[in-house]
This record gives sequence, structure tokens and C-alpha cells, in this order.
Amino acid sequence: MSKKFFSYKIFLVIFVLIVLLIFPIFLKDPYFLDIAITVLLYAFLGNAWNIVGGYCGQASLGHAAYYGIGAYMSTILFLKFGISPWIGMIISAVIASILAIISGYPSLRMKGPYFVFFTIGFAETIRTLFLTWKWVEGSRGIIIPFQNNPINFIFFSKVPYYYTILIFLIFGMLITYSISKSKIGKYSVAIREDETMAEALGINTALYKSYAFAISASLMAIGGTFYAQYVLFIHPNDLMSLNNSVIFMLIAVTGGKGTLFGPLIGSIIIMPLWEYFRSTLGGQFAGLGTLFAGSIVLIIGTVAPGGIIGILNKIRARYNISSRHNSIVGEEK
Amino acid sequence: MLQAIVNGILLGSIYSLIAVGLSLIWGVMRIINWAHGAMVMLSMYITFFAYSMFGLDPLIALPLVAIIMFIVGYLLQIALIERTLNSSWISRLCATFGLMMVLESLALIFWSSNWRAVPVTYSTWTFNISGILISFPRLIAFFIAILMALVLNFFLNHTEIGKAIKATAQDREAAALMGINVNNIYRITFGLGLALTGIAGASLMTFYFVFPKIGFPFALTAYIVCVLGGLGKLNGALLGGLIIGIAQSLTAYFISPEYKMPMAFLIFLVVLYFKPEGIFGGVTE
Repeated sequence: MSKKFFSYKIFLVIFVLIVLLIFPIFLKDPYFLDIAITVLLYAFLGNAWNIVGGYCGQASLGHAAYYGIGAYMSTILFLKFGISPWIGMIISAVIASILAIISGYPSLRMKGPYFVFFTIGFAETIRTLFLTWKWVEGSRGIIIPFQNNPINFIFFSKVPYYYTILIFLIFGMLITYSISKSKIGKYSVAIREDETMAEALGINTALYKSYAFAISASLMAIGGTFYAQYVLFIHPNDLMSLNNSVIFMLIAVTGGKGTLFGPLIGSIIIMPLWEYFRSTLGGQFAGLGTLFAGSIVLIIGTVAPGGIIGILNKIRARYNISSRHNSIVGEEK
Repeated sequence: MLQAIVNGILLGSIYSLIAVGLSLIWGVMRIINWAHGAMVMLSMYITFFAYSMFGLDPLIALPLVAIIMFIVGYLLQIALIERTLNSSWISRLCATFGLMMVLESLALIFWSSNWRAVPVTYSTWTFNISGILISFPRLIAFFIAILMALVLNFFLNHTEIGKAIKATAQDREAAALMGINVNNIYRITFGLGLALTGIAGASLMTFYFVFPKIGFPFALTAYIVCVLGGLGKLNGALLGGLIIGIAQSLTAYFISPEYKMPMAFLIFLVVLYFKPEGIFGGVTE
């Protein structure tokens, strides 16, 4: 039974992958391609959030800070020092992970709500710093000049962007997968389920949380670089606002936090509607996008803490389709 | 300098007003109400509409707003928060944060993002005491904050319900065994917490304007105030608000108004590092 289920899962993954690969061949309309890129980007970011928020149980609402730092770092290296964003991306990922460890030193010893306060305050502080920092253009934002060259991570059409972010996403999900199978992942889940107990069992909780945090932040920074190179305009309020952090959480939580495919599912469900509400109805009903997002968070929080994957698991359990209990999904305490 | 300190105290009293309700909810229910800022916004709108529709002065409308917010809180607790009491704190975060987003966007849809203010005659009155300007409505807000803390203390220490609330805060199971209807106490507590935001909102409305996103910055500072004063300590929240207010006012005076939030955050970090239970000690988890 379990083996059959396993192969069915593999089949599904391959199917989704093929659909995602051939998607741009059939859809040439830049508008839809733009939405597809947004979906994949946010799936990538949600996946990065999920490492800390889902597996480790540390709901960070300050991840937008690393996102923004990634975007700013690579852009500044590119514009002021002439370093290609591809290299800048790796540098910014490293810087973000170092910063995550530094900021994680106080924050990861905090529990629950204190941690959330800390992350919000941290992101707001970083945002204020960038807003007032003259060297990075402060509140004017930075416009990246259009130099069409793959070395500059700037492409003329949207299709290369699509494949780039698809590769990033696959890479990010592979990282999440390998973490979930590794010691870090198992320990993270132990920390999420009962931190005091994990500590009592001899797990260095702060250390493993820092690992998860660093990996998550570096992925976030890579996403930030992609955003900068795709939109070619960066501004502290676009990148580091609390709104963004909430969306990262929203995506992971909607799909199913602490699951491999949760963020992708969440992003596929939320982002197209979000973009639609924002771009099409934005003029008449400004709050509709937030209303939609907020209602989903509300429903997930009160009725379905496991997200869509949680709901599917419940249905599966009811009809007893699979007796295999997926330890990563876990029941909500 | 002295002016900045006075301004800080007056600003801080608003933070105190908001933080006391937050602290009460936290202390009794161990829930952070992330929608607290949205509740402040809501009560400010109620005050505004009480003025624009019935011509009620914000200070006269104040008790009315508090009662309305109590009912809102009581109903919200039944409809929403009660469902999350036994789930993980991330779900609670989602529930109340989602509530905040929903309320803010509904306000945006129905009442637009225009800034609205109540044009009361005394909103610009100031006293000039040997060169220091004191804004009259802010002074009133300051006295309301102090009065409210006194009333709340009396309520918690000397009435039947207040004692039940304190008992529930100390030990939920034991309180239930003593025949206290814990669910009902939670509803009353949440309602009280929101009634306090109603008072805060109404007194804010005498000198401030309202727009859908006004609440969150206030609430964010109020969370820090709560941590500073010790979670669940009402007097701590009152004093913490004044401290944060003074600190922010001095920051704005000496450095730049933009660094108000980072300053509050810095205080938060320092407090958590040296005295995580808050300066007056609080609920330890």
C-alpha cells in the first residue's frame, strides 16, 4: 500500500514538473507569464519561510528584511562595483545568512510571541535604515538600468526569467527536502513540537534554529536578487514592508506549513487571485486583495491549521486511503 | 528638552491606554491580540461616526464606544478566538492577524483611505506653562489613562468578576474547578480589553485623525510597552507606555522622527536581554 502511494506521489511530482516546464511554450501572453513568474517566485519565498516557520515552528514576520537585503546587496554590487548579479546573488545570500545568525543570536532564544515581536521590529528597523540611508538612495529607491545581457541577469523576454525562477524553486525545494530528511530537519520538528522537551533530550535548540534561520535567510536573499533583476526597481517599502512578510507566511500556511509542497500549492492558489485583485480591481476596491488574504489567514488559523495539505490529509485519513503517517506534516498541537 | 519630555509623557499615555488592554488579554488568556491596532482603528471610526451622524463630542461618546467595543469583543471571542484557544500559537497568530487584515481592508473598502478628523473646538487648545506647551486634549487623554488604570485596578481587586478574572489568569484549571465559568471569563476579558481600546480610540480622536491603517504602528509600540512593563501587569503597561513615549519623543527631538520605531525596538531588545520578565516582573511562561 505504502509503496504504491509513494510511486503515485513521484508520478504527480513529475507531472507537475512537466506542466511547469512546457508552460511558457503554450502561454505567450506576457501578462500570464508575469503571473506565472510571480507564483513561482512567491512559492520559492514561501518555501524559504517554511524552513523556519513550518519545520522549525518559529513564525517569523521579518523575513522581508532578508528579501530586501538580498535585492539591495546584489544591486549595489552591480551598480557601484560592476559585479554581475549572479555573483552578487551568492554574496548576498552569504551576507543574509550571516545577518540571520547575528540577529538569530538574541531572537532564537525567545519563545513564541516574543520572537514574532523581535522579527517584526528587526525588519522595521532595517527598513527604516534603508529608507534614510543616502548611499543606497534612501526613499527614492534604485532603478537598475536596462542592460540586456544574460551576464547581467537582465533578459529581454520574460521566458528566461520564468525558467530561472523555476530552477531556483526546484533548487529551493530540493534543499527543503534534504533538510527535512537530515538531522537539522528532524531536530527542527522536535523543536517545533516541544521545545522544552527537545532541549531536555540534549538538542542544542538555539544552534539548530540558527541553522534553519541561516538557510532560510540566504534563500530569501536569492529571491530578493531575482526580484531586483526582474522588476529592475527596488525600494525599501516594496521589499521590506510587513505586508511582504505576511504574504510569505500566508503562502506557506495556506498550502500547509511544514510540508514540502505546501508553499507551491499556496502560491498557486493565492498569488493569481492576489495579483488579479491588485491590478484589475485595485482602482475601485483598494482593500480587496488584503481582504481576500486576510480571510484566508483567518480561516486557516481558526478552522484548518494544517492548510490545504492538512485538509487533504484529513480526507485521506477519513477514507483510509493511506495508513502511512507522514511525520513531517504532523498534527497541530 | 523639557518640552520633549512633556510631549513624550502625553504621547506615552496613549500607548498606555492601548497597551493596558493588550496586557489584560495576554495576562488572562495568554493570547496576543494582533488585531488590537485594528480595534483602535475601529473605535476611532465609531467615534468619528458618532460625531458626524449624531453630533456627539468624542469625550461624551467615549463610554458609548467602550460599551460597543465590549460587545464586539464579547462576540468576537465567541465567534473566533474561542476556537483557537487549544491550538498552537501560530494558529492564534494567524487568526488574529487575519482578523486585523480583514478589518483594515473592510475599513478601506467602506470608508476609503481618506483621513478623517473630528473638528472639536478644544483640539488645538494648549496651555503655556513657563514656556512649555501642553496640548489640552492630550492632557485629557493622560488623565483618562490614569483614571482608567485606577478603575481597572479597583475592578480586578474588589469585584466578584474581577477576582474571577484574576483567578483565571493565575490558574485556568483551578479556577474552573472552583466553579468559575472560564469561557465566560475569557469573553468578558476580551470584551474588557477591547473596551479599553474603545476608550483609547475615543480619546485619540479628540486630537488625531483616523484612516484604515492607523492602528498597527500604535499596536506595535503597545506590544513593546507590554513587554517592557511585564506581560499581564497592568500598572507596568501604564508606566511602560510613559517610558516608551518619553524615549520616542527624545529620539525625535535629538536624532530624527524616523527613528522612533527603531528606538522602541532597541528598548525592547535591551529589556529582553537584561530583564525578560519586564521591569515589574510579569507572567512567566
